[in-house]
Amino acid sequence: MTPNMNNSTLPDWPGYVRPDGQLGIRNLLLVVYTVECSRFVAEKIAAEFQSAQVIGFHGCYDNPYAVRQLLALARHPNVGAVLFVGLGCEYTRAEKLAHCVQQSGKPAESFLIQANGGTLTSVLRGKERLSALKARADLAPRCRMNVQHLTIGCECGGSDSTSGLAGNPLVGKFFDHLVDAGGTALFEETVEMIGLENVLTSRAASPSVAQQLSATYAKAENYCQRVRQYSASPGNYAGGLTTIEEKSLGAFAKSGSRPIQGVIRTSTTPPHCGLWLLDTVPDNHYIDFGYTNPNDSEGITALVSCGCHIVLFVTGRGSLIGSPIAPLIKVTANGDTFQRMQGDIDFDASGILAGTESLEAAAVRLQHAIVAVASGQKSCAEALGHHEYLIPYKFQNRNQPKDQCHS
Amino acid sequence: MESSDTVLPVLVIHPDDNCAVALEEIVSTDPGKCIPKGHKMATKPIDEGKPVVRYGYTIGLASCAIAVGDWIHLHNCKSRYDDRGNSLDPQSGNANDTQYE
Repeated sequence: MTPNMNNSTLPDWPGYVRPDGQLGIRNLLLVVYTVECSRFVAEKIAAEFQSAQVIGFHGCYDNPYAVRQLLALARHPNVGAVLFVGLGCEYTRAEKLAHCVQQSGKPAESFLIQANGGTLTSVLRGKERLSALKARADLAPRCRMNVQHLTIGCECGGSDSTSGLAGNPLVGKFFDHLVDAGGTALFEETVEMIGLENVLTSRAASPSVAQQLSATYAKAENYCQRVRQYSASPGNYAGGLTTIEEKSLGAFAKSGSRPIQGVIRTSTTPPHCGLWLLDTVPDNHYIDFGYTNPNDSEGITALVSCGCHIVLFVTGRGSLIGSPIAPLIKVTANGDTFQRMQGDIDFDASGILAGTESLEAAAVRLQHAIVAVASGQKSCAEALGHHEYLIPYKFQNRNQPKDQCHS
Repeated sequence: MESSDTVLPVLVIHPDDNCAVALEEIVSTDPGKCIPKGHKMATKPIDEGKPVVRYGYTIGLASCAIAVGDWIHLHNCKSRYDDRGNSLDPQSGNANDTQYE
């Protein structure tokens, strides 16, 4: 009999209840810079607090996509309180962002460096305000959480031949169990579905979703053609992948086998549980904002902006990145890579190709590893202090599908 | 190819595939038949312009005739979408066309 991932066999854990009803697995303090000029002060403030993380947007000229992402990350359920730090000249207004977050009931404040003095006085002021915010975040009520409350994202990077053979199918198997248990699973990287339009649309939960998936695919393929860039790197080729079609078939295995409920955009949460595709590709605009997916951290940040509590990251060649708001759990099916990078990679799935562990058994083991991290155990990247992220200039329409919120 | 009683450490993923994945490096006196670990080896002859099939799906087209036992990679297989891959170094995957100065 195959091992079973029934909820009842897995422990639950104490989560954090946010004023808008969302449940988080961490109680982080978030310091947000609104332009590159205020980043240094934001980082100095956060450095004094163990539970503080920093994110921000580098641009002085505002960008609606980036503003929505800052807000979505600030409202993320793993965040207990937020401090926005602006310089003062930039378009993105720290006080407006703080006001939006306060409306969800979450403690949030802001200040501008230019109105406050210089570096030293601003760092001092920021530390004092973050201490006050921490005192409020510490009061967050607790309640029991289990896998059905989780939203889990997945991404792959540094892929090699083992990723498509075992690493990504393993995440796919776990996603099937997560969806069956009533949880929410998110995958993205439509630019790594090149050549797979029929495979993608055949997974749609309904004819209207099939249309959505078809349009999302067409946009991604068209964007790749226009910017003349496909999502394959020298390391992928060195690892045995020859074409974007071959890489795509392996990458798509992360989605598992359950029906796709629909397509969501960056900074929106899935309307209900099940498996969802996140579309991060820019929409048509008078100007194109560059390449399809500049690096792994950009896709991971987009997944987190859709409410992922944890993101699974499958690598073959090796990776060491983390993520500031949702823990990143790194998985590899390449035994050499795991041996070489043990302190960085959380999960060794090399037994699948060695024939010493079944996919099903590895998926059960992965679920237990995820529950341990959800319960507070640090992932490798968290323990090492990794917190890579990227919020880019980009254009996406707001309207499809309509912005949805759990709150 | 090796003699028929030699079992090569390769994995055929789908019955329709015309290539297999080397689970260990395959060494040969013919450089065109040395398969790095994780790379693909042809299991059927593939004519120029015909599909290279893995997972049961076309992953690219043969850019020249491929014989059984050949290493399949950037030097003899091309994407139907991305035309940069074939300009990269087949061994390292590194780009030779990046301008640094």
